[in-house]
Amino acid sequence: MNIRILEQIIRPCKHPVFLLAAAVLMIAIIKPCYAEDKVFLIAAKGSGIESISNRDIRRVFLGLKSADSDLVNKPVINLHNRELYEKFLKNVMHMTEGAYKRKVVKRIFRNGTEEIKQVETLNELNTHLTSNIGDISFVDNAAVEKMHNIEVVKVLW
Amino acid sequence: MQKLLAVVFIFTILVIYKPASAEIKLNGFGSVAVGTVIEGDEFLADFPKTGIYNDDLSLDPDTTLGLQLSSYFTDKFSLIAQVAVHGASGYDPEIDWLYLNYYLTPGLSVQAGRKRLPLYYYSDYFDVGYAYYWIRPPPDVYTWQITNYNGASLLYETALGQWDTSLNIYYGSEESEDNDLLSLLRNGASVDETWKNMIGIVGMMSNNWLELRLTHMQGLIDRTVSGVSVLNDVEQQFLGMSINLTFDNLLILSEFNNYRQPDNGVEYNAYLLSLGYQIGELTPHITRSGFRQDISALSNDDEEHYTTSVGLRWDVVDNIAVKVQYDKVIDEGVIVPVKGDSRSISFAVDFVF
Repeated sequence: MNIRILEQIIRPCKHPVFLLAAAVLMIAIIKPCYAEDKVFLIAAKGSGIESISNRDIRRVFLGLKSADSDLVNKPVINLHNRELYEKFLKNVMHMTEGAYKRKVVKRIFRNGTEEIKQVETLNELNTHLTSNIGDISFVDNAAVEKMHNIEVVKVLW
Repeated sequence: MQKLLAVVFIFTILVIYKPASAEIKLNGFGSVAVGTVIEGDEFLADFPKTGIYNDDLSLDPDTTLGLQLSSYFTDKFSLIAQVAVHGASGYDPEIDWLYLNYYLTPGLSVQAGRKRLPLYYYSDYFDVGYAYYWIRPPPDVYTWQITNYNGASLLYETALGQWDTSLNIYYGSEESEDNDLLSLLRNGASVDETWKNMIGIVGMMSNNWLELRLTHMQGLIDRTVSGVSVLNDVEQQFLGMSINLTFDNLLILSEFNNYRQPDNGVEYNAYLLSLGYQIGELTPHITRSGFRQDISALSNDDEEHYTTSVGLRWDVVDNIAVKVQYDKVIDEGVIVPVKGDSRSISFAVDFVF
């Protein structure tokens, strides 16, 4: 829709300045869309977690210990945004929601490991992370701006 | 006696340790299943607990309820206990797990107490129906008469490149008085069975799409039939392999096992091959499994049976799955028939909380 409007504006004025202005305008429109789509791995400020691979994030969210950093504690599943959770499962865990749940259940009843904590609100997530240093979770760009005393560990995608 | 010793040992440790501030977590699981044989006489759905369907509608063979208690005294030290009741065992509570777990390092832990005997891929959570798509793991493969052991184990988990790996070494023993499965196979005679000096190893490695599991166990058997000793310090060996693949929504599951008593000429092989495909909340699946005991100069037993299963799992909500399954059994044993040919259908609701 936006592209068609731009084409209509540009068509009568073939001057390069207008083309440049149109390009800048398009970038301005598109850029926030990308920014909104960014998803971060977060932890409380001062957690000291500096680097963690996607492979290791997957391990931690399956209930295993982190192989990359001793500072990574427990994972927290953010269910505030259901769509984001499904994308996280697809992009990081590489499995469907059903397959993920079955994996976690297997581990609980095979090894007696703790159930992975789930939170429904950003406020709850914020409170949990700041009072459990080293715990990690995932949020989108809009959410991270609303949270306090949280640091971005990694851009997930 | 061994169960009692395990309980006494664990409670002694708890008294010494005084876990006043232990964090306690409770997880539960259950399967409420109903089924019937639509052709043939009987279907042995659960070998170890002898859960048998006949031509009446029955709730008992696959119905199970269980509770797992995990008490975390510190980040490193915990107690895991699991109690379950099974319809096939008359709903008497049974302790499947009761062990102490201690992390020596973040990847290395030691356990002592009572645990599931990890012979098969699904051994550890055999009773947790929610964790797999069948109503029960294929009975041809899960033909174990001893399902637990009392002893100690060492578990090492680490990442190797793109692989998550684990190595479990265990040692222990188990006594079973009036064993359900062996009594059934010997026309109701009372059979006491002891598996002792069991030493086993289980190696697992997995990445995003492939999971491999290798297991080996060896030990000694004592067996008494109607008070008469028929096996004494007989060596047994178990070797198993599982290869599971996940390609997006497609699941390919397999398991192959070989069991031997070298001195007696007893040997059998069992396998399962299964395909499942997840379509949203639905997972249709098809499975072929088999068990074949070889006749030798020392053993005339010819237990041999094959099962084809077709089923559907529906994940209704987060922690509840509804299942329906059709099983066709071909029993080719002549000297040791199990329950004959049969066709059966069963429904189940599995849940975790």
